[in-house]
Amino acid sequence: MTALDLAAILPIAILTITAIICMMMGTVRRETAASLCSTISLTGLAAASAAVIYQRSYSGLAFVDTLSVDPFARYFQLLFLVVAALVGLASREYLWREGMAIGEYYALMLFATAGMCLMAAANDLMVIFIGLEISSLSSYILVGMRRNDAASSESALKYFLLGSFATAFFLYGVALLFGVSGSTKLTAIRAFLYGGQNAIPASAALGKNPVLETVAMQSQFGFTGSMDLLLGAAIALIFVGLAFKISAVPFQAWTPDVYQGAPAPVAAMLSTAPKAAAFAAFIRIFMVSLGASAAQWSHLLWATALLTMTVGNLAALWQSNLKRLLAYSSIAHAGYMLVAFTSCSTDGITAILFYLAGYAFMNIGAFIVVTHVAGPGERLTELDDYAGLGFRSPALAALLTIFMLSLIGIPLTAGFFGKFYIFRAALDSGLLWLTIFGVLNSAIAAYYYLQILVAMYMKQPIDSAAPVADMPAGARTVVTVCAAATLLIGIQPSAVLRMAEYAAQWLPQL
Amino acid sequence: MYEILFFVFAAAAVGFAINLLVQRHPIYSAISLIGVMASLASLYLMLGAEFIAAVQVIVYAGAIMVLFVFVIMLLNAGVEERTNRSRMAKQLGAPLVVLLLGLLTSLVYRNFPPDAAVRFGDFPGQTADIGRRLYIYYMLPFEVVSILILVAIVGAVVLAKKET
Amino acid sequence: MVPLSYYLVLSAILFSLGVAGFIFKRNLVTLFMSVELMLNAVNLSFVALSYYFRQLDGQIFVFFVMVVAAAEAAVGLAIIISVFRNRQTLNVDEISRLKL
Repeated sequence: MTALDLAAILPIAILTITAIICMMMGTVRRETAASLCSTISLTGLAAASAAVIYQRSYSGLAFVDTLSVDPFARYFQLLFLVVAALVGLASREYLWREGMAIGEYYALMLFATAGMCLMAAANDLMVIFIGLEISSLSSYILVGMRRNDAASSESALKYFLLGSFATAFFLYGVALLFGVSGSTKLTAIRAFLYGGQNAIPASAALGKNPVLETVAMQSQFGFTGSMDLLLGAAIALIFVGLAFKISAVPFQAWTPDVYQGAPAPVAAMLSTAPKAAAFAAFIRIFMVSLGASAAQWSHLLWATALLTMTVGNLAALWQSNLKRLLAYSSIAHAGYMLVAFTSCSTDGITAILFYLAGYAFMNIGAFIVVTHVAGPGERLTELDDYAGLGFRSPALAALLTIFMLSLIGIPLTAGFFGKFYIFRAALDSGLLWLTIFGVLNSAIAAYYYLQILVAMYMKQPIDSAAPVADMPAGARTVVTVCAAATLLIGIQPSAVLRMAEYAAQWLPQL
Repeated sequence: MYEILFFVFAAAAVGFAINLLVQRHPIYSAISLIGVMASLASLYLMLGAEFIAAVQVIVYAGAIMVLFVFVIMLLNAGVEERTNRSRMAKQLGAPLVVLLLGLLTSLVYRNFPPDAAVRFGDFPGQTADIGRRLYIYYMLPFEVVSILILVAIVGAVVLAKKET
Repeated sequence: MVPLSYYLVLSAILFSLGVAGFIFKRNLVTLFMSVELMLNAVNLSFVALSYYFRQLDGQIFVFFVMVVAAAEAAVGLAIIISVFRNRQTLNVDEISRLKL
């Protein structure tokens, strides 16, 4: 094991150890377990972030080319760690209130984060697959953790069945890609597709190999037509698998039901971290190894981006449940990010990375406010329950207003610069129509976000509405941090933008 | 001889898979799936993958399917009833599945070199080589998969344990 | 002597049958078994391609797919049990949230 290997695995190892310690806290009395676990996991997340930052002095491929140490992976890993810290802190009192298993909750959250870190740094489809499964399995369990609630276990079931169905498609795509190129290593596939070299390393071949020679001969003549078709099928199948994870249309059907049934803090995490992890894998697979056939997949992305934005926004217009509304809005936001992806340029990838960071803060903030207003058992999640919130609880309403304005994309919030960079990157790549549709969609989206503001400030509260309790300390800290970050990125985006740019520049150009 | 064996096991795999779809009681479907797995294990042997064939029988047909049968028995699952919605799914899904089948098979059949033939006993890899490769080149996935198993244990306990 | 593509066609057929099972079956456990069938089909492709390239990476991938399938089965069946406790049914159509 070299120093590079150690640096590459350190954040994941720290997360795993912290998770195991949290799991053991199940033996501690419930009263102390919640604060103890959140303290332990915050410490672990801080240590893991330090390990990620320590990685800066290393670069290259670790563990015999299976893990990549690079700025792109580091950006995503930091994002996952921040999301996990915010969600972990915010769910401290929630777990206690809902009577959920505390130690296991934190352990699974940390395991999921470790899986996502693995996905973001993987240089082998095998490792991407295992990371994807670690984070997905943990998410299925987290969604179903309110076991006495029928909605919670049903949405876990739906998430699980459709998720494993999509994973099978992803795997079939990987198998076909392996059949085309003879390797599952992203860099080796790239070398093969860019014509040239055989992807099978000398170390892998067993004995005398007649096939290798034919493959090598074929690649000398560039791509044969038959290979192109197979590659297309592989790309389409991998696309299906990953599109499910980022809930792109037409694979979005699970999202609203799962977010509605899941514990609200878990929904906050699902809409940000695993989605970002899927984007990381998406970008890495398509830009690093499949860059040679960008002409094939950019059409697919174009159509998916358009559909995802439009369907997400139109469906959100009819929602009265806040958790469902935020679910559809998260579909629409994935659509905006796909617009930037369609441009396939460094600017486009920078825009996605920037957007993911801003979106994480505003969306987690919004979900945590919704969690708190919902009250015990998460009963108050309808739009009517927000009537007159501006008078009943001005501070909470003000915070929610910031998040909603940012989700719309009003200047001085993170959402504005996020959309601005995305549409600028799209225009620079000549995607005029997609940009026009994107801007139109943002206008539609404003309607349903404003509906919430109207309910809060212009409607009389229902007489029977119970007063909203004070926010517990953990959640209050998280919401304040999220609001501050949303505004800060909206006023001074350059720091995050520079990090995103640095990460995106590492990716090979098309 | 080799061709006959291939067609026998391939036909068995497809037959069992169709039986999985046709049977109305989940326990019969589970047994059909075990049949598919056993046929595939034989095909793996013919492809020179002794280790995978053994693991297929021990882990897949043995451990995983026993879990399925156990759960079917535990929940006392009966014959599935046909509801209205499933008729709709049939109308929508049938053309889709046929399309997928046609596309995949024709694509795979036409685009892999026809001269690449499988000869029994022609594969040089041994189980020892798999072990060596696993521990040298694929050490990371091998270690990391332990996290996955830990997650599965925690999950099964959290979700299925009795109320306290 | 059997052409390699026969193995891959068999794999494609089994995969499609798995998809068909996922769409047409109504029992939760059978639905999940159809997913397992799809994974098995993918494994056959990997082993056949591993033979084609005369190297072991494909077989090692299959090994990991099996581990993942085992973990998935444990979690999936636990979820099915917890749904059954709340609903007393295994029919997909009677579980409201699964309606698409």
